[in-house]
Amino acid sequence: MNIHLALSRFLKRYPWRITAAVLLGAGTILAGIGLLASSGYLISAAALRPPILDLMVIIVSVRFFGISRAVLRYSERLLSHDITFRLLLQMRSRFFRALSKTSASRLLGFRSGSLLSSITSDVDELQNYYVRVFTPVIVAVLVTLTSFFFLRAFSPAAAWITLAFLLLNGVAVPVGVRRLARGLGARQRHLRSELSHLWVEHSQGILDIRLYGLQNAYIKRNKELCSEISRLERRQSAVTGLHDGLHSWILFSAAALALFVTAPLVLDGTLSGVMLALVVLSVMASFEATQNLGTAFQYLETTERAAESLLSLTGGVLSFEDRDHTGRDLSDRYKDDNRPAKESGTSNAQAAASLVFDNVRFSYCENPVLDGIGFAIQSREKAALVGPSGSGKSTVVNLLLKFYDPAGGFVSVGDNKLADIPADRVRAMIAVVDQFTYLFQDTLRSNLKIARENADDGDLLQSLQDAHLWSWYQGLEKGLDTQLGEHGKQLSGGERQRMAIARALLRNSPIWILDEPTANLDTITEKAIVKTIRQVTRTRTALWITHRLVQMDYYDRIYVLENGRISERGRHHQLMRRKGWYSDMIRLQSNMLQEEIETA
Amino acid sequence: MTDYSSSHKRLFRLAFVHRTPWVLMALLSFLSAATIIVLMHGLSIAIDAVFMQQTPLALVQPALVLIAGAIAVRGILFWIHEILAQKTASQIKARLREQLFGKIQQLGPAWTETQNSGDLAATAVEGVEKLDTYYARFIPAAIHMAVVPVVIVIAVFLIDWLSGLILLITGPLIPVFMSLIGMRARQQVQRQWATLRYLSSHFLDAVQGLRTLKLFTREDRKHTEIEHISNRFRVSTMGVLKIAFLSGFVLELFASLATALVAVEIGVRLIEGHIVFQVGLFVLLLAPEYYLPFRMFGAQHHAGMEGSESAGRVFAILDTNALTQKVIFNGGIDVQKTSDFQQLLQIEYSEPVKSRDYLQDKTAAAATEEQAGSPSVTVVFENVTFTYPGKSYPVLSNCSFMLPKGTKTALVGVTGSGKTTILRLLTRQLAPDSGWITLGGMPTTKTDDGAWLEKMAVVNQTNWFFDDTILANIQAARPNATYEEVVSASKVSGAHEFIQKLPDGYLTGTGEFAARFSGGERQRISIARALLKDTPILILDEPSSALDPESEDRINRALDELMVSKTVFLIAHRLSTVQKADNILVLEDGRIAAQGTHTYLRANCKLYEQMVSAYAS
Repeated sequence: MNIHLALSRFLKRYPWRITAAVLLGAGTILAGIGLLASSGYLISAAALRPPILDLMVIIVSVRFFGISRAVLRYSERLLSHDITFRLLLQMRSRFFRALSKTSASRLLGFRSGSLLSSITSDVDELQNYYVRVFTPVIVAVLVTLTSFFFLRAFSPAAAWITLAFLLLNGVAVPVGVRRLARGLGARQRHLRSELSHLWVEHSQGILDIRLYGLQNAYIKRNKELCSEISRLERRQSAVTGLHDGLHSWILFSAAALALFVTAPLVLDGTLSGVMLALVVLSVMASFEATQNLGTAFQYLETTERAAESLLSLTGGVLSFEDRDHTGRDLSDRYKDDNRPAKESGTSNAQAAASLVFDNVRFSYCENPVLDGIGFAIQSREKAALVGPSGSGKSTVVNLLLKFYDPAGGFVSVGDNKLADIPADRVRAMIAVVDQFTYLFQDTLRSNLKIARENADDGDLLQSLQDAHLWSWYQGLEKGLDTQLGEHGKQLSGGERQRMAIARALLRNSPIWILDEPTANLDTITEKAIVKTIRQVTRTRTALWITHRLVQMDYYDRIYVLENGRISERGRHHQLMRRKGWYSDMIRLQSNMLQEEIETA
Repeated sequence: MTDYSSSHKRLFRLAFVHRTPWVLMALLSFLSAATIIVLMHGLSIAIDAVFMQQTPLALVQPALVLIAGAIAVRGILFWIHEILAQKTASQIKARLREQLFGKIQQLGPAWTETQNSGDLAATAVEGVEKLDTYYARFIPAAIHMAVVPVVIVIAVFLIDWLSGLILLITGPLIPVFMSLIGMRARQQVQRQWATLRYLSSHFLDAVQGLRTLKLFTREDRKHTEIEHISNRFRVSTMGVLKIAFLSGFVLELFASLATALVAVEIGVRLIEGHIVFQVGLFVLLLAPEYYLPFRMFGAQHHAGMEGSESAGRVFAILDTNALTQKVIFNGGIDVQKTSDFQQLLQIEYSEPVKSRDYLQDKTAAAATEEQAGSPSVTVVFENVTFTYPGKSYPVLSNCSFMLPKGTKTALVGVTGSGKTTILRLLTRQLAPDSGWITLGGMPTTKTDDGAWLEKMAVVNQTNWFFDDTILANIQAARPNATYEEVVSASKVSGAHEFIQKLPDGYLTGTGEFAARFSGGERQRISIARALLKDTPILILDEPSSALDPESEDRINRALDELMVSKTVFLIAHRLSTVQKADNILVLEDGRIAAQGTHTYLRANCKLYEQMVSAYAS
């Protein structure tokens, strides 16, 4: 119910368009009834051979209905498409806003799998609510009532019969058929998702499938699923075919019964015989009203499902309302000091580009990820945060970017505690280069301009040069207008990371976070990228997050994060003197290199 | 547009592989036309009786029986028709899905890697599903349109030729006008649908990049952009639809105007007494039924278009040439022939004699031992050339090397030098354009995939988890392995440590956890699999990114266990383990530029020295 309320809120935005479209839709069917009714009347009246002039009015109205039906239908189609596109825009826009307000942890969860694409197709699905569900139902009601009152003027019994059969055809049959087919539909959907799963597994695991000789097992499984689906489809067609059959039975039975009950009226003179054909033909034509209700029920289910999954996914944020919690209030509150901060931004922030974590605690669920960590990095210092995987290094980054708020303690950037400033401002001060560089399906220019909107081409080219992308850039035929394609697939790993550096450079943030920026790169590329980053961060504060302990004497400070606590801190040579995780790891890592040097 | 009609043609051909159901459907359409004629005939007699002759209905019983009978039969015909149409569609879909599945196996990993697996699944599931409406609705509607109007127009001709003439003239005009307008609009409409899909993927792109957008605080800008683009699309689409919908307009207009024309024409002739009422009514009742199949077909037109569009993608996959299917074997080489080996070893630069002797000894030993049926195997690449489709230059050109049995060989080279291609060729994901690959003297062309692949195990970090228990996943390597064997293999590989920490140990389903396994954990499972499979050839595809030193150390120890007495081929991306190799191959520009021991290469190969120093720095 909740869902319908939510969906109809979208419709409320276009009251006039929707009213007009509904009236046009009902008008189309009524014109069809008018056409057949007036034709029936015309030939009945003509059979009594009156002077032709007496029939001129009815002849004109036959033609009028003939033309108006086509015109009405055409306008209705145009208008409802227009409305659909408007609704789609509204839904996408609203949904995007809702999603952009969801927490970072949810967003990270979305990264995996096809969840996101299923979300977007759910949004696409919602548009059907208007064309396939809402309009047909309203139109059916309007037409049913109109034809009921129209017929009652001639033959009350025929009117009641028609009403009863229309209800049967429009409500009872679709509901009954859906009920009969419900289990089948759900099982088919289940099987299809299983099939889809099998296909994903098969295409992603095909290397291992071949290596272990499992091809035939998979072929068999696919075949089984396909034939099971076919079997269910056939069973379902027995039900939907019944629907088609029932439609025909009900329509003509209603017409025959209408004839049966109206004939006595003609014979006893209550009704002029001229009207008999009119009544029978109107009854037949009025069934067009309920023709689309079968699919309406079907789409009702799918749109309900789509809306439900969207609602649950966004954690109810998609309440289809403009107001929301946290973020917005904060940015409103800081609207005034937001602007001056941006203008004097660089110089001001540069001076105070320090980072402080003070007794910060944080947990995703129960177990604490960060159990009271504290450190301070001064302006322009280069610090490294190292530690075994799973020790909470990425959480530090998420806290810094205000994707999460700490459960205890505080984080501050420059002279501001993060809790006091809006996320926008925090993120403006910090540039991140991590292994998740996302490139949009857009031009190179737009992909760079994401970092700085008002950058001109000169700035962009400069950033490419500084990020050592120049030779790559010169190979591009279309220069900055080159399309980067789906997720920037045609860029190599190294080039993607250089794009991230170029973006960060354009951002001109005083603080850089380098979160394993060279993971997934080969050694030579890694070395070059690290060199570039070190070059461009010379005058900036940089926090490196890494599990590889290479060239550690570069750093002003090194923090070892173990089990949610900082277990060691200091410069490379200091840490090496201690017998801790750090020196163990360094020794382990260089074992091979030392051997090598010895042999060389 | 050519795509559109060509996949239409192909879909038709596919449909008519089995003709019987379609013939049956045509028969059903014919029968339903017959029933509507009977039904309308009965109705016109009954109305005529009451209105013109003032006779009670009870006196026209034959007409009532006709009506009742026709109604009953017509409903049943519709029912059967639907069942038949769906059955046919289901069969075609199942067949297509099976064909696609087989095709993907044939295309193999080298191809699937270039594809988005979600996309593939969508093509196979939803894409093929779209063909359901094509076969269960669109084609039956086309058949219906071909049969019913013909039957009705003949019937009308027989009773009233003038009305028959009107129907005969107006009917065929509908498709003519529709296609005249449709042709103008179709291209535009298709472009608009393409834009619509673009919008959808643009939206998806924005949602996927949301984290990046947030980092740059650009979510509001993107939000406005989405609204702006959608709105522009709406305006341009409406312009196109105004024209596209004209064909529907023409259809409606013709159908209803022609009905009106028939009514007026009959009315006028009734006044003049040229026709009797019953016949006039009969024709009037049939006129809308004559146009109905055209309208039904028009309503399915979109289904037809969608079907042929998604079919395009399906056919594109079916038409992809498999890289493993290349005709490659133009003549064999006899591996045992020493001159071939001599040639093989002379291809590259002059290596110090010592190293060459060593290799030659090994080779000779390998060749004789293999004849004796020893389980260990020598691998030889000779003059292998391979070019990816669409590339103008080969990745590998006349690449020759050998992996002597029981030795460790490492392959090094910068990114893009062709290491992965060699791995793919060796695991038969690709077939060479020219040249030969042999396993223990047996060339690729003389063995099937199964026999070839069962001789090798691959250890990597990208191993796939089947949606099953961990146990079953490790067992995949050797289906008859016992639980104890799996556990002991896992202990050696170091996988046991983290598996036993999982909620259900070895019986934990991977579905939920596989995504959370780290690279190191994946690799350890991969090693457990390889231990279990116990093959003569072991390929180590070293991960390109580094693990933390702790995990790396543990894995290296496990690998040492695994490599004992096997032919080991190490594809080194980071040079961390190469010094263990007996021979190192340096791949540069698609050929082996140098080979030898670590020490030798550091002294003599500049590229190798560069790579080592990059790693060591």
